[in-house]
Amino acid sequence: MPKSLEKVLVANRGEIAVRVLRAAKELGLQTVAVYSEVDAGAPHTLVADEAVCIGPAEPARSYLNIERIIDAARMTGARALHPGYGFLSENAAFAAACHDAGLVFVGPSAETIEALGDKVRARELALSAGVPVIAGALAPESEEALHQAAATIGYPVMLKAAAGGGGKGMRVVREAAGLMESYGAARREAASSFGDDTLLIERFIEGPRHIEVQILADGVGNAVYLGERECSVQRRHQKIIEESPSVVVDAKLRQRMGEAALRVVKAAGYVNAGTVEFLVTSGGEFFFLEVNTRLQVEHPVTELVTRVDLVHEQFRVASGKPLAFSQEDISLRGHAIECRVYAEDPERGFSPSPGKILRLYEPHFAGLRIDSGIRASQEVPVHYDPILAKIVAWGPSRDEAIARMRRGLAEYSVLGVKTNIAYLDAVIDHPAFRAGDLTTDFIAEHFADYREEAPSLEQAALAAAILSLERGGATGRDSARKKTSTDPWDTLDGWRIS
Amino acid sequence: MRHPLMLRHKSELYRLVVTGDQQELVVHSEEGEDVAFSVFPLGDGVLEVTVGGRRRLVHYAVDGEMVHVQDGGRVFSFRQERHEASGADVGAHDDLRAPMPGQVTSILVKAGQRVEAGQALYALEAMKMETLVRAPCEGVIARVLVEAGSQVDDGAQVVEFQPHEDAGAGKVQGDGRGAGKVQGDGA
Repeated sequence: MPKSLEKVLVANRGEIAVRVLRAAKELGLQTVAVYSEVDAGAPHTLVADEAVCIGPAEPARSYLNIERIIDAARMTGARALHPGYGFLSENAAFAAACHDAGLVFVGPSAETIEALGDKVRARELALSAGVPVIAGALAPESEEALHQAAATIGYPVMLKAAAGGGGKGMRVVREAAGLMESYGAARREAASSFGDDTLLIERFIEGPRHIEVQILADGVGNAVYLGERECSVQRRHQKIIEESPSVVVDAKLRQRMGEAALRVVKAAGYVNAGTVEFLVTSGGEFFFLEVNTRLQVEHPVTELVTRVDLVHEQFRVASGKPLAFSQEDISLRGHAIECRVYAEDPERGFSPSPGKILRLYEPHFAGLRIDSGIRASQEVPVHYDPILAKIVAWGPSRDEAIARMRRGLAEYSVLGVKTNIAYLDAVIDHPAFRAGDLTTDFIAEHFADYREEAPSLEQAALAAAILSLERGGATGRDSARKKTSTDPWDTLDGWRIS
Repeated sequence: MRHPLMLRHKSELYRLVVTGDQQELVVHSEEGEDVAFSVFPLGDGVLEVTVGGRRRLVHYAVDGEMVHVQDGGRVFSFRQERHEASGADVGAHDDLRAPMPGQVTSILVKAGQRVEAGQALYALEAMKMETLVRAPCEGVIARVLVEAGSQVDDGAQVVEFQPHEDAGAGKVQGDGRGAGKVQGDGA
């Protein structure tokens, strides 16, 4: 039945575009990739049946350019469009434009996206559905009113983009002195990431867990929850490691949170896959945060423990088919963990590290899944999110999943751009992580002073040996030379590389 | 074979000499420690390495002066140095250069302006994240070299900063760039 969609265009890039394009092919659909000029030859363009260039590198002129993307769909005869995550995935105008162009948007309706994307309306919706929320309001634009709003709520407060998610345009403010500076930075980030600089201000809860519930809803009134994802391990509000299930969620809490999530999405008339995010206190109380009206970066951990392919289900639901299973059919098996591999330099404040991938080796073994969007000799562009790949490990128990993840991280080899792989390994090997003792402050508490290990003398010697092998080549040329001195340092400048 | 090499990893400089034949190599360090390797190339960028009877696989890539080695789940990038003097000047101020390539989204100071330690000087956005670059100590902005909205390369000079005499360069440790830069919201 998803075959009725015939041909699907994936309006994204990187690992998520690759993953969605593959799922579409598995369902017998024809596939169209779109790409910006700097992404010519990128992996997502290679897995699709067709690929269309939609403009220059700047996101606003390509992956955020609604007109160009709709044109590409028209030109190729695509019947459906999958937005992936990020970019236009939560843009109601884009969903509406697809609808107007006669395209099936693989996601909820424009109206639902708009209602849930507006965090003020989403909170009201949650409240009306009997789901608890955290005190807060729209951030006033005037300095005086903003200070007053912050004082009323009480410090620390959180400023966040009304239109956004994923940590962009978010700031925690601990005292009045830093309020305006954070407000300015959050607004600029919100404007450039989401094209909307409206901010919310709310009470900041210390030391909570971030736990979210995956839901699936069809167009004929069926909706299920597919367990939770623990996403507390975040750096600057950006998730870096996620897992399912959460060690603090028992069957009872899972059911309560799952049912609360379903009440929210049903109130919004939600169709397709979505995620309801909650903050969970150390006492087991949970508060509604927001609904992400799209596929999440971390969806694979849910897929591994539920054995449900969420992207397949997205296409089925989009084709008008009812869900093939009910809540009783869903069970969680084992434990899954995801690590996000970013092109960034942990030694330089995690600043992005674009560049050319000189060498890439991705391990494959039982229990390991890699969702990757890169290939060797590709340039990692500066213009987009620095995610390169996701390493996802499954095990019958959490400990076994951790062990597999460590092996996956150790074997994964990407050279030429700096990555956070060693950092990820340090995090999952930390006693507090192993104990499941997680809060959203985990990284700030345990990894504020993270330093990469320095190489050993043996490793420096190995690098020297490699250079010699690569450049010296045949040994004759050099060994015949310089017999006069026995002190190696005398010949320091004697060897030149051509 | 007898190859003397200087390799730098951050502030560390290794003076090494590689001797031996194709597959049996000995690397001599300045401190007089020797490491003996058996190496067996397994194709493009992969090496089987045996040291002290223990065997492992190493991935590597050579790119100009850089050699990247992945060993034991860690990647180390070394730069080959050709001259003794180069690299000795780390620790300088670096004029609060751009910590990464990206767009300067706002300049928060003017030429001639006095700034406090930790004061935000400009905002740089790359890969959708904004970073505030801050003054490492009290000082004066001598010049502003780019306009808001400009794209800059990694290490591009954005403002020229003169530290206050009392707060001088001695206070700045390490590699200048890192010392001056504080990520994000400072929260």
